[in-house]
Amino acid sequence: MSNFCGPHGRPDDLLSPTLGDQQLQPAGRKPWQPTSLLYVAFFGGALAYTVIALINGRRIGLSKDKQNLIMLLGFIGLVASFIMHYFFPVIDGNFTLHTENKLSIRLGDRIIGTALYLICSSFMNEANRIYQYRCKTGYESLLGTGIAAVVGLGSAQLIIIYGTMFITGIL
Amino acid sequence: MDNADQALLLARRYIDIEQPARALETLDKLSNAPMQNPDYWYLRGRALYELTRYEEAINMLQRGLGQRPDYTPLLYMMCNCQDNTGNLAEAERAILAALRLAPEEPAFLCRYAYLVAKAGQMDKADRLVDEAARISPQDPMVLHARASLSLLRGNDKEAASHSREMLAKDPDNPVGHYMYGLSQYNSGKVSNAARHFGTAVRYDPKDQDTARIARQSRIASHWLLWPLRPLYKLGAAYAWIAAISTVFVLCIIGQYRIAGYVCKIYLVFCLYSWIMPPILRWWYRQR
Repeated sequence: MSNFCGPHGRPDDLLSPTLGDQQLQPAGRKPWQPTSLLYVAFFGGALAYTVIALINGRRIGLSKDKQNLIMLLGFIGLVASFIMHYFFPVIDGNFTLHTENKLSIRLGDRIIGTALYLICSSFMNEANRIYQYRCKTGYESLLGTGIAAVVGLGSAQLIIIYGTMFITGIL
Repeated sequence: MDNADQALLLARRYIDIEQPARALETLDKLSNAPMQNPDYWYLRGRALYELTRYEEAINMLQRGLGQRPDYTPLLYMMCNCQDNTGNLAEAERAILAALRLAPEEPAFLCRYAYLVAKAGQMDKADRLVDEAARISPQDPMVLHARASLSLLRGNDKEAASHSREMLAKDPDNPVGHYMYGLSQYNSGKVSNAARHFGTAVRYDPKDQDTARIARQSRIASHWLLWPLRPLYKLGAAYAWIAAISTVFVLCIIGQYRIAGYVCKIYLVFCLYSWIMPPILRWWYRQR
């Protein structure tokens, strides 16, 4: 079938309705400032950033595809972190601390978190601008939630990584 | 010209000079309202729209469309009202009906582009604006739509280029100044932004949004905030990444003393950026 129709040479689907029965949801909770998510990614790592980015994504109406992409990227970040902890473990199977690996681990986790933020912000910024154009709500502070995510989910990430290594006998 | 025609003319004039309440009063005073005239319903709907009484405006427009379903100004206004109540589907229905009647109207194509952009369908919005540009490439409305879509995409350079085109055609266009100011503000060029917002406010002093952002950019371009210009240009996130990376690299190569200085300088910058803008805002409010 031809892609063009009529005397105007206009693509068929251009003037077909695509908004379905779309109703703009009344603005729920305000999203967080996209820049603030960097601090969570930097200090909290992949898991903390993924959770916070998904919540923020939902608030700004990010599409399901993009939300799944954040989840996938978060999982890849977690795997990268796992591999890094495997090569530079802070504790070994005998529960001996390896303080010489601390700097590498800290640096690695921050690089992974920051990279995750930079990749995700490339598509989250557009959604955020569209949200602000639509709802004009401004932003909510991430201070309390951000600290909770960094402490809680950052610890959870370590427990997941070392728990998996202990259970599978890698360590 | 009879009384009704004169009242419609007067109401239109009131709307043009942004006095919708008086337009409504003029129409209310008509003893024998010209119910058959679609302009009557359009002007009532438009006045109510300007007064942000969208539900009542929709009601008026529906009555007008009941008599003249092919009157495109009614459909266009219906799209605006439905959009403002958050009913995108109804807004789309109205603008598509208008486009069926006037498929070559760039204003309708651009309006539809804004609507789909609001729903996140940026590719379709781009195609609609392309189509409007094919019909009327130099239309300021098309350039405005292009600049708006670029801003939504976060492409400030492209938005600046489209706004410059708008200003090249009409240097007194307040929308052009506003759009150019916005693109400059987003890129951290606050002095340039302040100048263009200021011009936009002079042309349209009633626009509260423009006045607010003009004030913000004037504060941001104050000489006391000059040290923060690099931060504005780079953006808070990238400035943070740059500072932390520098400190890490300096630590890795053993330059702990220099790393310490970089940390201190960055902290001073942060403190300055937290303290000084609120002080300036307070000072401007006092003036």
